This record gives sequence, structure tokens and C-alpha cells, in this order.
Amino acid sequence: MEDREIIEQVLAGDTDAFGLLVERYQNRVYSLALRMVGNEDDACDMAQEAFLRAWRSLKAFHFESSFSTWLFRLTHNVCIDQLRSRQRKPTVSLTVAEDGSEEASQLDLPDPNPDPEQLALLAEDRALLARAMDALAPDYREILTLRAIDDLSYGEIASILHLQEGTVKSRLSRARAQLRDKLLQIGNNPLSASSKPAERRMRNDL
Amino acid sequence: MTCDCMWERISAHLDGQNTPEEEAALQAHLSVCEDCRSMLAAMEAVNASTASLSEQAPPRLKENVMAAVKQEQRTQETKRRWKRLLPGGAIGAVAAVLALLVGTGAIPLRQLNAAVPEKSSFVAYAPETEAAAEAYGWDGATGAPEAAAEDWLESSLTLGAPEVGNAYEGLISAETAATEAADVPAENDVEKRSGPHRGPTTLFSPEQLDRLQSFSTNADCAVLAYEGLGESFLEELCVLEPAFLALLENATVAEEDGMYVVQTDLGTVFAIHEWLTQVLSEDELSDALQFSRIREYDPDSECLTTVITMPRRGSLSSLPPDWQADFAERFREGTNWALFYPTAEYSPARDSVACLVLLPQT
Repeated sequence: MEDREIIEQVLAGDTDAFGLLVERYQNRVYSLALRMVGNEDDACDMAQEAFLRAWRSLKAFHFESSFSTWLFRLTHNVCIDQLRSRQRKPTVSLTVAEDGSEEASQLDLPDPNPDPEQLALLAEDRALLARAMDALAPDYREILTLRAIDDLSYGEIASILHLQEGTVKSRLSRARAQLRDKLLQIGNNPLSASSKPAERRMRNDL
Repeated sequence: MTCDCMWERISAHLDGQNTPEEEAALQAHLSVCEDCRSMLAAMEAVNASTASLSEQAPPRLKENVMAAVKQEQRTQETKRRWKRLLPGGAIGAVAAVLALLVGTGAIPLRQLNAAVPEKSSFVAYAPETEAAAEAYGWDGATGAPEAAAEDWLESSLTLGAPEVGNAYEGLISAETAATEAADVPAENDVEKRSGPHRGPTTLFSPEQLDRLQSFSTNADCAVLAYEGLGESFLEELCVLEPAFLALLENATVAEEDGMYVVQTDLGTVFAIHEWLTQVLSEDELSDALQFSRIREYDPDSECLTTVITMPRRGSLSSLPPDWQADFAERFREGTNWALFYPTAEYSPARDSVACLVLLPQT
């Protein structure tokens, strides 16, 4: 059944039909939230809040975008709110700036000229990959997740993240380059970047 | 063209997001640039791996979402039902008006204890001196009003059982039940303090709810008018306890000059008051029940019913003029007092007590 049909059913009063939408998107919404907020409990709360907001606003959703795009935008907004409220607490650090200096240094890293097969092997190690993801700037982590979880177009990603399409393009390429660097860094020196949340996270993977 | 620029195209190539021109330029560049070919291979490897990043949502996610959705739906349904009660209706044969006034306009329920009504008015019907009693005309032929006033003052301060007459069985039975019910809420301190936004909360035991329901069928007609407790005060109460909404569904609810006017039977008057004693702290209750107003005489019950909140040191002159006249008239004429019934305790902060007075008119 199409999203639209389900939504029409929900709006006609069939609340249980909303469960179909939850089932359909819960893994993607949860994945996105998890990459953004970094721990399972918060991610579950954020995903719940995103679905709840969707339910509340379903009447106002006029299919100007696909339901999934809209839902991911809600998820993004919920997580941003959460991260901002965390930021106000002094003990938790939030974002690594995604601007010039830090990035340039990442991109200027001397390329160890990796064997792509070696890189692929590194990336297949899911624990390693998750640690590399966790080591990314949050914006990079999020955009890679969005791209990975739902094969969204750049236009859709732009509308979810409130960005220009050109920014999506450049951010994705930088995110991938940074992920490559992190993979090599961590892969070549497994003790260098510890990331316990990532390991915990992987337990749920199938 | 720099390789840095090509990285974007390599990345977009993986996503199929290049225009044909961009794609052509990329391919041309790749054929001559080994670094970029290497980067393409690296990004391909990385990209393939991130595709596997999807996580499994925990099963509780769906359960929680659906539970929250259904709870919200119930709340919305309750609000709709409440709104349906509101279109207004003629306030017909009216026995009394109970006005709950805080005095400062819309005040959310949970902030009541912080509400300080600057311009609230007080009624003083419990004269502390004989001179005052005389001034209010309470030295009637029988002397009953004066004694009754003293009894009332006494009982309203102690919440003791009121002296009751015997001519109004229906009223009295409801009133007695309300007195008994009023003894219960102490157990409910926690719920009492919590605002109405904490999801499903049951304030009352099933027995208490039965009693509340029975009030609504026991007695005569009355009208309640609410003002100042916040626009959504009654609505919030309805959401908090759907059984309360059920009570009101037997009533006529109208909005009049920013007041909710609820026309219902006297039992519901007691039920609502009982409700308030559970939801509000004593001080809040006393704050909420500033004063009340007699509006009409009910020939069937030969009874005027009102709830008045009385500060011990208020003044009749602080009432709105028409209320002054009304009360003065009633109290001069109403020499045949049936009972005084205190419905709330003395509030030191407000220096006032709340009292329900049933006035027979013979």
C-alpha cells in the first residue's frame, strides 16, 4: 500500500493504520536519530517524538514532498532540538564545526594512497566503520546516514537539512573523504580512536 | 580543474546526481588523473559500506509511538466532546450560580497557587461584632441568622459537620455525601499537585467516581459559572478525568462573557466542588472560590442555592454594586436559614473561607 493511501486511512480515523507507517519507517528514522544523538535511548525517544509530531501534523501534510522526506525532516528537527538542549549543559560537547579550517586539514591529509581493496576490507568491518562514523563531524555523519538509509536525492536531502543542493553535494563529498581518512586512521591504528558508543550500537545490528 | 572539485563529482557520480555534462567532464578527468581514480575507488568502497549502516529500531519504539498516539487521540476526543458541550443554550430555570473567580483572568491550573488577585472582591457575611451583624440586618425576629452565622463561621474554620435543617432531604443527602467525600482527598496529595498534563491520571477511586456520578442524579437544578481559572480550565479537568466530562454531558454548558456557565443539577455542583478539592490544594481552592452569586430562585425546591467565599475581613462594599444589592436583599429577607455548609477551609494567605449556603425562601 502506498504511503498516501495509508495516510488517507489514518486521516479517516483509522489510527491503527498509522502503525503501518511506523513499521515502514521506524528503522530509517531510528538510524538517523541514532547517528545524530549517539545513543540508543535518546535515539528511541527522538524517533518516537518524530513519529508523534508526524501524527499530530498529518492533516497539514499535503504531499508537497514524499512522506519519508517530511518524516526525516521532522526527525532531523527533533534531534537538532535535543542536541541544542544538550549543548546548554556544559558537560556535553556537541558539534565539530564543519567549516574551513578543520575541514581543510582533513582534506589536506597526505593521502597514504590506500589500496581500494584494503579500504573495502576495512569498511566491511562494521565495528570499525561505526567507529569511523562516530569520529566524523556530526553534520557529515548525518548526511551520510541520510544518503545511506533511503537513497534520497540531493534535493530531498537539501529539503530535510534546510540546505542548498550545492551544499549537499559538497558536504557529501567531504563527508566521504573524511570517512575514508577516519577508516584508514582507525584501521591502521585500532587503538587510536576509541568509540564505545559505536561498539554498543553494533550489538543491535543484524 | 582542480581535483578537489572533482571529488564532488566523484561523490555525486556514486549517487547518480551528476548532470550529463558533469559526468562527461568527470570521466574525461578520470582518464588522465590517477589520484582521482584512486579516490573514486576509495569512495566506492566507503559508499558500499555505509549502505549497510541501517539500524534496527527496538521493538518498544512502535509500541511507544502507538501508545502515545492513542493517548493523544483520547485527549483530542475529550476536547472535542467538551467543545460540543459549549455551543451554548438557554439558561432556563436556574436555581443558583456558582462563580469561581480568581480575579486575574486566565491562569493555568497549576499556577493557581501563584495567582494573586489584585482586584478581587470579598463578601463579609460573618460579622465579628454585634454592630456589624446589625448593620447587615442579621438581628432578625428569630435571631436565627446571627446564631447561624456564628455556627457557620465556627464550622467553616474547622470543616466540622454543619447544622442542617430537615426540609430539604435531597439537598441534604447530596451535601452529606459531599462532606464524606471531602474527607478522602488527603491520600491524593501527589495527584493533587500534579498538573493536568501528565498523561492518564486517575484522581478518584471507583467508589469516589460512583459517588460523583450519583450526585448528578440526586438533586435539583443549579448553574455554575466559572471564570478566571483559565480559558481551558474545565477542558483540562475533562481531559484529566473523562468521568468528569461525563458529568458535564448531562449539563448545559455555555460561554458567557468569558465565563463558563454550566447548568446542571445541584448534585453536580457538589461533584464539581468535590473535584476541585481533589485537584487543587486547599489554598488554591480557597483562592479559586472567591465569591459566588445568587442568581435565581427555584420555585420547585423553594430554595436559593449559592456558594459564597467569605473572607473574614472583607467588606460588602467591595462587591460589584449589583451584587451588593442582590446580596443585601437576600440576606435581609432570608431570615429562615436552612443550613450553612462550609465547602472549603480557611486560607490564611487569602484570609478567606469558602462556604456553600442553602437559602430557603418561605
